[in-house]
Amino acid sequence: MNTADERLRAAARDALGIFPSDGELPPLSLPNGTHSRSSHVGAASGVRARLLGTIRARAWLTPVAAGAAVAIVIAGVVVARQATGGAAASGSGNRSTNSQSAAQNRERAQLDALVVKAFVPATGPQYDAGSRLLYLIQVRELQATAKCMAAAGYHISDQAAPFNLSTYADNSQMPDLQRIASTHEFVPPGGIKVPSYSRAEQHAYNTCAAQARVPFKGLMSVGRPLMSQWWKVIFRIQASGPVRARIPALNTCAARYGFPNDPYGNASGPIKAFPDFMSWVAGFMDGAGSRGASNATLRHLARHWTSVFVTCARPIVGAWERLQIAAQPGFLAQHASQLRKLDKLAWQLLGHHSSH
Amino acid sequence: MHHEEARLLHAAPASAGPAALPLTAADHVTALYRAHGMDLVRVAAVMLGSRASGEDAVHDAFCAVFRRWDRLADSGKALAYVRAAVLNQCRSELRRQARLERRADRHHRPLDAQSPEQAAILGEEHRDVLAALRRLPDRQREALILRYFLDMPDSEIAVAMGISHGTVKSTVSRATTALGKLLKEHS
Repeated sequence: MNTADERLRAAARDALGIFPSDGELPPLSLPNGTHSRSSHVGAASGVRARLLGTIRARAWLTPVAAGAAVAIVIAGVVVARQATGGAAASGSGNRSTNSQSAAQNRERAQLDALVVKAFVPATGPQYDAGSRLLYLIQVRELQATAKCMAAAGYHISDQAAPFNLSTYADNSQMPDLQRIASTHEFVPPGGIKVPSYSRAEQHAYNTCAAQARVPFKGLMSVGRPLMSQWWKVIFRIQASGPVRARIPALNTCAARYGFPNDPYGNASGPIKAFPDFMSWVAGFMDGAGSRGASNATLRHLARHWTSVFVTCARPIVGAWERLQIAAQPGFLAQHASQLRKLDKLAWQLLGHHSSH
Repeated sequence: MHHEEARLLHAAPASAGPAALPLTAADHVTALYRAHGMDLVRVAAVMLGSRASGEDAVHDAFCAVFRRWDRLADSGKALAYVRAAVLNQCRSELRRQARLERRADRHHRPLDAQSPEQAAILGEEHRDVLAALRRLPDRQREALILRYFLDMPDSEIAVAMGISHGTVKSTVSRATTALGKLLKEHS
């Protein structure tokens, strides 16, 4: 008679044959990030409009000042970068008309500003806006992947879903308080469907997707180290004395709204860092969501908890954003050559002249 | 530090992820699903006695992890979190099944011991193992399934079940003995 151990091992081998690790899975249908109003950020406007848009909300004077300062910094950097690039362009003997070149310059300036926001964001609104560059890259990759799949005999749509900030927003480290206050959403809703492919199709997809990424490798190989270096600056700032000095006030504010009471039981200790606070707030939304609360209840909860979040987060986020904004120009100047490379690559890959 | 690691993970090399881009929560969860989904379906199916229920439990667990991605203190531990979520889903489903069975008993309508779907979990020669596993207490069953069907080391079983390393060892030992007795009774 086999021992229980041997019989279990044999049964496990049998199960592995029935459910092989690389077997076909049903599609994974991820839920919306949160559950209420739509329409706000889906139609994200241009880079400048995004910054200027903050002026409308009087309650946001600090972020407005911050945004305006950033706009000036970025505009300065863009002009400086263009002045360098422009000399090269004039030397190339380009005879395009004035209006064409003005339109191109505008587009290029927008793309350059997007590069800064994507790789060196100093504020939540910049971080959100910079996500659009990453989305543009994904759109181009999807188009190339679809073309390659068609050549391999498979059809996938080359139409990307509209830009959806919910897949990019970072409320723990770069919260966009203006957006959260105005939309009462931590992230805009948007379901994400992940298709399920047969094994052969998946293999073709992987090959095609890898090929589609190749043109962007240069951009990312310059952008990624720059981003890493900048995030080290961010982490230093967010862990610095002036920011940590706001933690007691964050605890006091959270206590006004029930901290340490938590839907998962009392929090084990005080809030030590901002992500602890974000997690505490998010728990009320997630807890209700996982208990199957109605959409109306979730909307009500979102309205309440986004207000709590913004009220309590404003001093500490304002403190680190001021420091990050102050640090950004120096960093941009220090890494001007990398930024010029990024601008050039982004323009080659994503400028309208490069569309197919 | 873990936030920095999470951020650097966002900036992982193209070869490490599905796209040469900062990875989003959906990217992370999807990659985890593709890499470990079937292993977890196997475990959940054995635990629940039905492939469909197993797939549902795994799907729900991944959705829960996606919803709570911001709450993960360390996204590098997402797999451990998903495993724990799958176990939770299975426990809930088993409790629901137990309630149904009690209700069926009261009305003298016993549920089928083994539906055609349940029979497809394992081959004929191993179904008695599955039946015996299902008769073990929850914790013992989970420990055995994680060890044998997911080939997990004790340290990872401890994390997934939320118990100590030592408790895993003693639970597995007691479970193996109990399973041996049940199989003997059956034969």
